[in-house]
Amino acid sequence: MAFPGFDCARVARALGLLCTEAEDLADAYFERIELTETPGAQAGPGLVVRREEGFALRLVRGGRVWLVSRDEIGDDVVARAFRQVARSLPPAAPSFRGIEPGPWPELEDADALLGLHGRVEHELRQLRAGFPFRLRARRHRREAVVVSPRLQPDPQVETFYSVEADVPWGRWGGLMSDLDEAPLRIASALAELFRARDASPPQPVRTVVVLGPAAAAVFLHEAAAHTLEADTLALTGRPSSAIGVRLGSEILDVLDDPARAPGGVRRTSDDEGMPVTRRWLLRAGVVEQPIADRTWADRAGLQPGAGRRSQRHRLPVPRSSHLELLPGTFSFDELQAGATGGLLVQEVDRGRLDPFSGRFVLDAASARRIGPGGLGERLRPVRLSGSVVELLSAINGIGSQVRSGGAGWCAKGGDRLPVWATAAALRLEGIQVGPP
Amino acid sequence: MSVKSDRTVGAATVQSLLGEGYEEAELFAKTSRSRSATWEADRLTCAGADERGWAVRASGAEGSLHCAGTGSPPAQGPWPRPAAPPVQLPSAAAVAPPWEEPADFDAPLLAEGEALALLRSVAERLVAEHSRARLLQAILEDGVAELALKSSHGIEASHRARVATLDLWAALGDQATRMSIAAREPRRFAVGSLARRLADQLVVLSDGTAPTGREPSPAVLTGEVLAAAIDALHPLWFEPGGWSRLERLADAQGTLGSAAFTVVDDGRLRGGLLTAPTDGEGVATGRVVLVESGSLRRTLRSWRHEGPGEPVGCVRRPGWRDLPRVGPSHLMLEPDPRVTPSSLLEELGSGYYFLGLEGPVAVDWEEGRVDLPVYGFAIRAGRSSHPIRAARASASLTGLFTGIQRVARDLRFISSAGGCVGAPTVLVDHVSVGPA
Repeated sequence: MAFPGFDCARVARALGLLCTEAEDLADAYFERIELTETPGAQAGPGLVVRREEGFALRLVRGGRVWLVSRDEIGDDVVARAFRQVARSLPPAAPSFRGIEPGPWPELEDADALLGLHGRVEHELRQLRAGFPFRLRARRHRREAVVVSPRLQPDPQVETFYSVEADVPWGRWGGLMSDLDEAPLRIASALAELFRARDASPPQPVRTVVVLGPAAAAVFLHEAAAHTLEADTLALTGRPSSAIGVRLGSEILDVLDDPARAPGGVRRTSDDEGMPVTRRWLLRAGVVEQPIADRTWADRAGLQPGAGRRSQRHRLPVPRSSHLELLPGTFSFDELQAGATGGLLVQEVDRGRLDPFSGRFVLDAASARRIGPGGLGERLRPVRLSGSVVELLSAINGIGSQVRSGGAGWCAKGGDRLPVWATAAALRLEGIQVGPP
Repeated sequence: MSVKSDRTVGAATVQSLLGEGYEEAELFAKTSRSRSATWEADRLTCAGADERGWAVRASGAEGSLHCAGTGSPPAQGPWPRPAAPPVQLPSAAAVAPPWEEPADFDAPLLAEGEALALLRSVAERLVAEHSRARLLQAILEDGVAELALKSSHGIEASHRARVATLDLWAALGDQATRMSIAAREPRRFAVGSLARRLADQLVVLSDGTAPTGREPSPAVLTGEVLAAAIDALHPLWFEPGGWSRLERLADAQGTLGSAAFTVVDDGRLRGGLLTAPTDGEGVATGRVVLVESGSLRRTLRSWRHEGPGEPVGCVRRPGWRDLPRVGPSHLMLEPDPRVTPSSLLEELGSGYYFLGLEGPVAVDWEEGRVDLPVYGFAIRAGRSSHPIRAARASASLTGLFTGIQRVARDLRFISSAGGCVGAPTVLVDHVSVGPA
């Protein structure tokens, strides 16, 4: 652990001194981040290791927020930051003795990352494909401790992997909680990019679309989670007024539950130290509880527990961690059988929501036409578009088999955060499809 | 401990890498201090960050390593073991030209009150420009940094940097737009003209209509629009591969553009945001002319790549976390100090005045074409006839370069790949304009 014997009680007492008004919120966030990377670039370097640690102190008073952050952890530097964030200095300066992180652990998984390229090549051969590709693989580890005058949750530790693979016909990227199935997943995605390299984009048309579980995860993150983040909702009205509004199909139940995320990224508290909750975003298609951090919860009367920080120098923001789509009753074959003439989209590159108009686009590198006898021609690239309500309401089938994994990096507002999902395949009727 | 006083540790760090069998090693260190203020309708945030990090690159027969961290660089190992491929570090540079640090580097960072007053003023001036416009968010950041580099080849370099940025996000009805500007010193931000530009953008996006048909037309492009096009064409300007692409585009005489088309990169640009004596590897920066009055001269190349012209320090390293890579410092279409932007509109007569972009620039390298998703005004007899949006301006690459008839003096930069790309307002003899 990064913070063994860390004197949280001492920090909590000091934060209590910052809170001189009844509604004040003060917290301290200590983090240690380790990144191991094989960049895969011809010009090197062969291995990248980055280790950083630091902290932030925050004071929220009414409509004002003060944040002080540093790239070191130690009693002196924390004491100086305390004086900077305090609006009035307490009669006796608090002591921060015992605020020292432990030594860095041994580097893990470097060999596994370095060997990944060869394992993907092997899987490609099994798929009867072979072509050059560039693979950039990373192991991410973050340990975080949040302290506030009244909350002292357990330290949170996250370890996961991210991969970016480039071929002349495109790029594939993904997040994984472990590397066990990574070679096959990467090889399958690259082989599909290869096989679709000469395909043409679809003609603009309204049609039925089946999203595989990985594509459904990105779709729900972009369409349901972003739409229901308190800061997004506040752009067009009061966030709490979304509660009770029908946003999607009656068969659609979507939750955010960081405690049920894949192993390695499971959380018991958020980046503000609040216990995470099993938050029903959509119950039978109706909005039940938007996503909020502590400040948005106070401002908008929502439930906190979804505050996430991309790093110590940034404030917490309301974001989902792990979306969960409750499974339906259809097998994958049944979903496909009900989509003859439509498209199957297994992987999605990106989605984009316009928070003002509710307009939404989802871009996929490729898709397959669903014929009466199975999968037909490949199409690339493909864009699905419509309003969020239109797309979520068009869902008329949910698969019974769920898959847990990464839904990708979310970069909303400049905060780059990994997001996870447990999702099943979806069938959407009458969706606008066309070239980007 | 400042970077400048860190030399003993720096030497020990480099020595410790050599002691572990690496054949060459380099230490880069950066400390920075920044303040930021964020204005939102119901919240004001003030933040202060002290960041301090280092990175080493080391290489030997077995491979290479890039290792980075917060705080002081370690004076001794053990270091992670290397992985293939090795990297090559620059050898000791020739004596760099004399460098005079800009005086405004010593200007104090904005105080909290000053920053919030500036942001409030933007909000008030925007409403004064258009009563229904609303500022959603304004973020002002002001920072100063010290950078130092030491290598086993005898390179020792250090310099300071100073940057302030202002990011504005505003809405009118269901249309929103963003504007980002930067300067070395935030007191140079002209609030009145920023609010006017923001209001203009909002009005065009709100009231504009798409062109009905596609037609060739003369057009005036603001610096932001052309800079985005130059940026999207970045494979032309840098090595590797840039020179052969440029040669393929040029005619037999090596002519690529009109007499008004002069492209330079200047790492020591007077008043430039990233002006510095050395690049991210400690190699001297300078001014290089890539295209002179339409004639091809060279590309931006570091000592690693072959090509015409002397190599120049052009390796960007925005922060200690970043891997060094070739990129622009201030890559720009050279302005003409004798020409005002308004005179170009007078010269235009009838055509289009494109103010900005609604999406990314698309380049079709196979066809040699560039597509700009533009908005602005249709101009008839020197006057604005109606706002235009959802439009696409297209040209062949050589058509765009040879079509630039006049350039104004108002250089504007956008950020790109850790550097800046800029252009003045230009008059283009014709582009193809139609609906997006």
